[in-house]
Amino acid sequence: MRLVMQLRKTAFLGILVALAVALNILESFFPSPLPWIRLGLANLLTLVAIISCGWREGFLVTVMRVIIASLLFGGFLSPSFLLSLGGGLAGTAVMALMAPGVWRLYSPLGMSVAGAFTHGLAQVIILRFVLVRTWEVLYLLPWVLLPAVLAGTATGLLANLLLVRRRSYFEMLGGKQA
Amino acid sequence: MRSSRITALWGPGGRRLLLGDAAVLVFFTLLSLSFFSLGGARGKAETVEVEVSGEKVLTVGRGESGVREVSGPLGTTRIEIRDRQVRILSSPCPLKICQRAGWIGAAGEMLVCLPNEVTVRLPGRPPGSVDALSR
Repeated sequence: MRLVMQLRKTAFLGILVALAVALNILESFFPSPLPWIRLGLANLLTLVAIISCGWREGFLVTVMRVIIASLLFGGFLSPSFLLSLGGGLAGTAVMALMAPGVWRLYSPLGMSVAGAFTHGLAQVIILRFVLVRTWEVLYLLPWVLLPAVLAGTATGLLANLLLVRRRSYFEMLGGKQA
Repeated sequence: MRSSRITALWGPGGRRLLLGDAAVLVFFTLLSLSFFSLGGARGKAETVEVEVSGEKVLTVGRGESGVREVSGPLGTTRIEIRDRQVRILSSPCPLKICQRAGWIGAAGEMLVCLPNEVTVRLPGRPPGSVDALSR
């Protein structure tokens, strides 16, 4: 029985990673007013992983998504890869800290907003060290962070819808429910 | 546990979590907005840099209006700055290409007079340029 649970969880995480990569690619086709503005749909899957499994699984989904997407797009280990990975790790860390099991104060909406903000903040800081190398890049901060908060809100609302409406679905697939 | 369409947006926790979410949202929105104060202060401290024969001879703030003169191999080039824009007002060169270039105002733009070896630069990165795209 234990083995079955283990396999079920592995399959579940595999689906989450695959969906995250697919959404990441889909999203790159949308036009954007500023190059760094994205909805961050792939973050949905990290949220689901953190809530239905735990923080380790959240990091797993984020890291696997970034690596696989960079292999597909090209640019593995390039500066833009470092931006994605750094932003992803920072965002996931904050979302994991805000997870329902820890505080019970926020829904995935709050997690998503904080995660998106941290993602943007980390990317600008990494930008300072790997690409631009002057502190002037900090002037970008409001232009990065405001859209990030908006995108995080949209993604968070979607995550809430997903988790409530598909509750039985996630239970079936395996993870404990929040 | 069936939720209505509206409360479903507030997640599995129901309305109880609404306050926490709203606090997070307000906090991070205000924090983002506060970074605008960072950009406003130094963002406008741009300059006009004038070089003659490859040497920097003049640096003027873009906010200052007026006409400046620099002398090159052929004579005096007069540079006008007004409304944060710059143009070459008159030049001793034969073709007056630099004069006809008109006003420049965006960071990264440049006026050049080859005969009199004068260049006028607005230092900075052209807006909208992208170094790398992360996905």
